Order: sequence, then structure tokens, then C-alpha cells
Amino acid sequence: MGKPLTVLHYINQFFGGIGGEDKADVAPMRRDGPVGPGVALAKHFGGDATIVGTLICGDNFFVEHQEEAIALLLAMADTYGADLLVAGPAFSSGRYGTACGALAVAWQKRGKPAAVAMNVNNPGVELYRGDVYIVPTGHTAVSMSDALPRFAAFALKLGRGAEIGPADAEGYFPRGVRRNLRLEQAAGERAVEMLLAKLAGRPYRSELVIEEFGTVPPPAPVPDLPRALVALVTESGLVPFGNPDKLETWNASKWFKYSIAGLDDLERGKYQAFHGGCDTAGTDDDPDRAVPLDAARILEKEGVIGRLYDHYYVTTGNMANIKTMTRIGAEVARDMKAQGIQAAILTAT
Amino acid sequence: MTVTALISIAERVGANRIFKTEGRFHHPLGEPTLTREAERGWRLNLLRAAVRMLTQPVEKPTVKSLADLVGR
Repeated sequence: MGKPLTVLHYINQFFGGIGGEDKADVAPMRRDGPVGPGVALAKHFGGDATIVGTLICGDNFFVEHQEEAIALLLAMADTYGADLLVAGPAFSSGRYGTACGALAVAWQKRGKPAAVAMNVNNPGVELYRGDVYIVPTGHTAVSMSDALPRFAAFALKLGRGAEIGPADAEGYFPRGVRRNLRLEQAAGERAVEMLLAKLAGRPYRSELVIEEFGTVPPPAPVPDLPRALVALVTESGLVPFGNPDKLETWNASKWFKYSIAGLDDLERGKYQAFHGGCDTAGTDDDPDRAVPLDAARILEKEGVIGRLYDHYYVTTGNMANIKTMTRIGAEVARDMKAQGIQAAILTAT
Repeated sequence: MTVTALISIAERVGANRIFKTEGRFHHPLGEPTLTREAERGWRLNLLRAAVRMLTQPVEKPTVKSLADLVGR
């Protein structure tokens, strides 16, 4: 065993002993050595790691001045030159969890590892689990004594640079990372075993857990469609010929909007579908098959819809990453709201 | 609202107003077996029905087809 790791611990104003909600505005500060839950955490580290310093920030200060808070905290971190950052446990506290995640991501940019701990319901989990290791905890500080030994053990392993195995084996929230590994049994045999177990009511474990998409509250009906501004949206990858902005054919990270002002249909040869996994020849032959501008213009002239927004929105929905698509959806929705668009017709392939 | 031939995917991802098109999955408002003129009329007919969903209240992912929306 080498020399003990040096660890920096981030906590909020409450766990730092500064105060409760009335002190949530306090600016970042540092204390040498462990504070609050850090004292117990240090015991679990034993001789393998030393908490050299504690960074503390008010929850409101962090979320209201995030960039400033991170800059100040990282500057304070420099005085310790620690090997590893641990943040939390934040349990179900949303602001605290968000702060832990954001600081950990910023710290990792220096090439040093970070571990965070919080409850599955903390919004920080969805925000940061793809970027940082987050150890699950109970809802409240009542579960502190359960959380700290696992948190300490995981942080030590990470800090030593040991190989980190799959999420369920190591005890952290899945990051959405897949690794190839060699198994003795072929996929077909494993699948049949799983099926037999399922039919017999025996427990089995899927190798590919399908991510949940969550629910979207249905928007209210458009109150006055003949006066509404309506947008055409598509995930068919239909772009101007030659794909000038280089939209991806799969795993898209971008969205665009292209002008349809003054056009009554999308002319063949001027547009092209960039969408892997299916035959796009039919769309290229008549782009209105994917973005029905010809029909929408007629509905506009007839007054069935008020006005057609003068651009259409596009991305590619093929082998897409849910997190990225959620971002794209939110960005497009934000843009639509800014344009005063009241309804969208999304053609999905 | 969503216009698609891939109903189960639209439901799974939580789209709320889903119009089950009669077009193909890779171009939901295209039907290449028709003449150009007939296809335009076919597309207009589908879109005219589809936009009715925009004015209808829904509480969860709801699928409607041309037959559901026209003549009621």
C-alpha cells in the first residue's frame, strides 16, 4: 500500500455547521481537515486516506451563482492539491445534490477523480450521473451511517485508480456506459435461459435494461387553431441538399431550422434525408412526404390553421441518445415558445 | 402532435397526441404507389384529419387514425 490519498470534501452550509435555510446564501469557504459528516467519513477511510480540507458553500449561493461558486471553490481546492474530491452525501436535497454534481464535474476537468453521494430522487442524479460517479443513499441524513461506509469504500477505490466495474456491482448509479466483455455462453443460450426463467416465474436479469422515458404532461388543446401559429417539425433528418450543417445520420447531437418562407412545397432535388437505418429514397423523391409543406400550406390558405411558422425544425431520430434527445427537445421547445408558436406537427420516422 | 406509422415507439416515449398515419414508416406522409396528384390529395386528407387532434383534450398518450377523426 502506498501513502494515504489526500481527499477534499464538499458539503453545504447545513452539514458544515454554518446554519440552515437562513444561511443558504453564504459564500464558499474552506476549513482544514474534516467537518461534520467528514469526521465520520474520515473514520471509514481509516489509514488509507486523509481528508485534508473541507469546502463549504450555501445551497442558494451555489445555484444562484454557479459559475462564481465553482471558480471560488476550485481556487480554494488549489491550496490543498488533493488527489480526490468527494461531495455530499446530499440525500434528497436538490440544490445540494446539484451543487455536488456540478462541482464534481468541474473538478474532474483537472484530470482528478470525484465521487458524489445522493438519493435516487435527487435531481442531481439525472443531471450528473452520466458524467460523475454517484453513490446511492437513503432519503435523509437518517441513512448517513448506511451511506458513509459504501461512499468511503467506493471513493477509495476510485481514488487509487483501480478499475471500476459495472454500476450494480460497484454501487453507483449507471452512467449509461456500455463495455464489451467476453462470456462463456453465447447470446442465444443466455436469451433462452432468460426466457425459460421468465416463463417459469424464476428471477432473471436482463442484460439490456431499457431506459424509462418518463412522462410528459399533455399540453392543453390549441384554443383557436384557425388563428394559431403552427410549426412543422421532423426527426426524419430532412435537410437542404448536401447537408450544409452536417446533421448526423444517427446519434444526432444537433437540430436545425430551415426557412420555408414563400415556399408552397419542398422541391425534389433541393432537400435530402440524412437518416440511417432506413431507405430515404422515397423522401428524397418528394420531401413533402416527410415534411408536408404542400398540404400544410393548403390548410393555412383554407384557414384550418392560422399561420405556418416560416421555418421547419429538424433533427435525426435514429439510434439516438435519450439524454441528447431530451436536450434537443427542450431547446426546440424553447425556440418555439420564443417565436410564439402554439402548435407543432411532428412527423416521426 | 406526432404523425407517425411507428405507434408503439411514439407511445413509449410519451408522445401525447399521436396520429396513426397510413403512410410508410420512413416517410409518414408519403405513398409512392399513387400518382403525384393523387398522393398530394391523400396527404392533404391525412394532415387535415391529423390537425384535429391539436384541438382535442387528451390525458395520456392517445392514438387516433383517419377513421377516428373524420366523420364524427
